[in-house]
Amino acid sequence: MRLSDLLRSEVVDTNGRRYGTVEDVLIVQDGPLLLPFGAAFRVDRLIVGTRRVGTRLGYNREGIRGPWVLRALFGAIERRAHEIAWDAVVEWDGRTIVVRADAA
Amino acid sequence: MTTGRRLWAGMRLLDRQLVSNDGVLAGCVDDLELTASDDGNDLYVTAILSGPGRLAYRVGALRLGRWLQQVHAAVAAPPRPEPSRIPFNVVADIGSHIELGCSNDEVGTASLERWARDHVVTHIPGAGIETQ
Repeated sequence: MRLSDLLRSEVVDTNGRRYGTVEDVLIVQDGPLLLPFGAAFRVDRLIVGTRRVGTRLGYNREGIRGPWVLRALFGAIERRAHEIAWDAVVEWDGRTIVVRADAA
Repeated sequence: MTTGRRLWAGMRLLDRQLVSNDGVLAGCVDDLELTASDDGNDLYVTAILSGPGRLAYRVGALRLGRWLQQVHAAVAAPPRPEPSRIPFNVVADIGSHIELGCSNDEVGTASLERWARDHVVTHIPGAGIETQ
């Protein structure tokens, strides 16, 4: 599996609601050891949305600061984006990710 | 290397420059290999994928990408099945670029360019390029 497969996957929930495509993936370094590097990065959360331009700019990521005007502008564009925990994924066939109905 | 670091993979890793421990530019992060845990519940980043085939695959040219990967593997010296795969455990640091803990010769990402240089470009009259 590749990150690019994940990034072009569409996300739907078990009730059939469509959230859009995966825009970015939060990875956390708490996996098994990959010596000498350290702990492996684990896929933790997905950003899912339908407004690619807005989410690609990254203003909805935690820790991203910027001019408030831009944050307000792109925050409005990105408000439809969802963060979905990887724990909520029920199935991924390489193209479509099915998540629990209460995931977002 | 610290633990517990959190990164947005698409924004902080994709397209970043790879630099080998001898200071040579060793390609870019074109994709990441994800491997499922034994119980299938988690996905871990296990390798950096770099090279024209990997980039073609990422932008949606799946068939072209696979073909370029096969060409890349065929011309790699020494022959290796996946010259464009860099195991994540050789990563030394992640910052504005990705530092690798191995030399450029140990990384197969430039195999295709080296092959073209040695077998094509140097034979063009007036190329004036010395092979390393």
